[in-house]
Amino acid sequence: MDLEALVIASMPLVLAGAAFALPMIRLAIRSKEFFDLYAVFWTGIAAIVTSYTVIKVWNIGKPLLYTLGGWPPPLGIVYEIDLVGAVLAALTAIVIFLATVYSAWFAYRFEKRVAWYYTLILLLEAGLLGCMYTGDIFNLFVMIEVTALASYALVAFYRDRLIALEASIKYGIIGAAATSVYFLAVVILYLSYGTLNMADLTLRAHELTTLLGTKLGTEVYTLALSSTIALALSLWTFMYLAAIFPNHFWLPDAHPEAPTPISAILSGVVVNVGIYATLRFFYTIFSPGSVLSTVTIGSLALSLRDFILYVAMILGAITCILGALLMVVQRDVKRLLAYSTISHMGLIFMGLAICLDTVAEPIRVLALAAVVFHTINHAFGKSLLFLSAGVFIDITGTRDMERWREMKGVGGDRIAFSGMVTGSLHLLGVPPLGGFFSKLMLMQAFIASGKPWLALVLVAASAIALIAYIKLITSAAPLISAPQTTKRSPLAILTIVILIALCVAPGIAYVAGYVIPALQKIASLTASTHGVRAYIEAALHAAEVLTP
Amino acid sequence: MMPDMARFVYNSLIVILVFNTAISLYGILARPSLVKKLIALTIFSDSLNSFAILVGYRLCKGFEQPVPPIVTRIPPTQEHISKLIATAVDPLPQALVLTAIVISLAVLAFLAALTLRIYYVSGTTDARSLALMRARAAVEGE
Repeated sequence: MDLEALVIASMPLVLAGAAFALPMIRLAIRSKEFFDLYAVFWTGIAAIVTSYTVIKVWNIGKPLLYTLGGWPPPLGIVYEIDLVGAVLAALTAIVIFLATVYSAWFAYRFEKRVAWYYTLILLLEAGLLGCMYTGDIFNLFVMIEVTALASYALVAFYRDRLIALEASIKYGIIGAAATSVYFLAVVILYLSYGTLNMADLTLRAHELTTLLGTKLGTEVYTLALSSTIALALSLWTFMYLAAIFPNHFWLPDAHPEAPTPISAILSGVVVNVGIYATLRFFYTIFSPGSVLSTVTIGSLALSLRDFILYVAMILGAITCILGALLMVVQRDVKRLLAYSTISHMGLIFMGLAICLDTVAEPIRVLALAAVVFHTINHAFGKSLLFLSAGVFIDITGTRDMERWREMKGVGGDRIAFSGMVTGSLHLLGVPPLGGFFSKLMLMQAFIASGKPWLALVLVAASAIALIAYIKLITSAAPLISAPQTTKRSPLAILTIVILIALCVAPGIAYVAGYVIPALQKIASLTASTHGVRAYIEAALHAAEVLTP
Repeated sequence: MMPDMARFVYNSLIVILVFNTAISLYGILARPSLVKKLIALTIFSDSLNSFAILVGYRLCKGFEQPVPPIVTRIPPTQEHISKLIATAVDPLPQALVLTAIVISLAVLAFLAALTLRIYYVSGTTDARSLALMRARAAVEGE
């Protein structure tokens, strides 16, 4: 067995082990510095391994497959890592690593409970990496539950604050119901296709044959109807995770109430699970040419797949505008940023929904490239904004921006302020920064696919959001007019500077011409017919090798 | 049991599960008490789990008289094995349900602890009064 693949695939398990070891270590060691180092060490390892995974998958040019326990694919659980999954996992690990470094400073206010805090962060990262790496729809359910449980607990981390507890229970109860709905979708898919393996499912949905070479007995029409039900149910869950209207209600309560580094993780990378899972279902399992595309709704002249995608597209557009509008009226800085997340998730869903049957393959690849690029930019920009806002909240002691305006003499941190400005301009889409280019690519995809009204939604949402970002910057600006009086934290400043660089770098790389070829390769390995075939081939190969 | 009777029980079970799911969804979304929401949540996930078990029971694919997936004759003959494959209950959904039950136990334990914490902090488990308290609360710092 390939040792590198073993290390990569054991990453979620190692992180979960590190998480559960922490409460026991706490019985012997009680120093905060030790816990800081422990968490930074493991998240650092995860960041290095996931980044290396990207390079490895890039070099081999096809999905990396690891069979857990050595069972041949349709029988056992597999981890199947394609380039999009690897990139999103590396993004997750890098943002969590930076937020953990920031936490080493930030956690001084809850020193006694810091071990539990890091336990939950490591557990959250284990779940997230598992979601991105898994090649099994039931394993995806388990990993979503791990992620969700850690997020509920982190939202309720300030356990004496009623608002945090209320936000967490609202998130938790509907979230538990939502993941159960995904479980129902998994059962329906198993009932109709008789498999849980994603590659096998793809093969069965496209060619009606199994990985083992036998023919599927069920009628195409029955399969298409049951897959539509399953897809609609699972999309509901993914929309809950990504906070798409009408399932967005929990996010503006839950994300701001968590400790600030956690807000950065939740808003930056945890919502990506919904995007990644949707992408997996629409770009791989039910990619164009599957049974869903063969059955059309007569009166609308749409295939069932396109119908679901149009629903997702319209909901995404509503979310995009709604998030931007509600962002403008907020007083609470973290709530404002949470609404910005909702707006961007809507934008990304609009981009995902471009993969219609009627759209040509190069445009679908372009749309996926734009979605991946915007997800990366949003993750870095949003965590930068939350972490810089955290410095200001620490100085002023309040999240209320109206009160920031009155605190002229308090003094603020200039680097945190420049982080806030960079993050705002980045997410708004101002040229030299990365956010402009990902919005440009999304716009190109919208127009090339013949949906100019989506481009209009993008421009309108950005214009509305501009007001909110101006409000954010003008509220923070009076604070830095006086020199800073409180102690400056080198760790917080370091993470903010790194994140500023990560916001500027994609823009420069784009202008220099490195980004588009890279994104084309990443996206075409998932979205093209060839890419879908490669996903199946990897599993077929493993099945052949492992079957005696 | 007679095959017709078994089919009738099977079909009524599916109808009951659909009703159960609908009622529990009403409980989760519309009942104000957090404790009742949690009870409705367990009913919801248990209904879906029972549905998964029914999927594994061969009757839904038109087979009659399913048998446990266990080889009883040692050594088995070829004919015996093919008969078992044709009539045995599918064990995989049961494994899925076992996993799902364990996970929902963990989630439920957390949510119950959270509800208890909410009761300690605010003195109520009524979602409406909690929403009111939330609306009155000012914007805080960290």
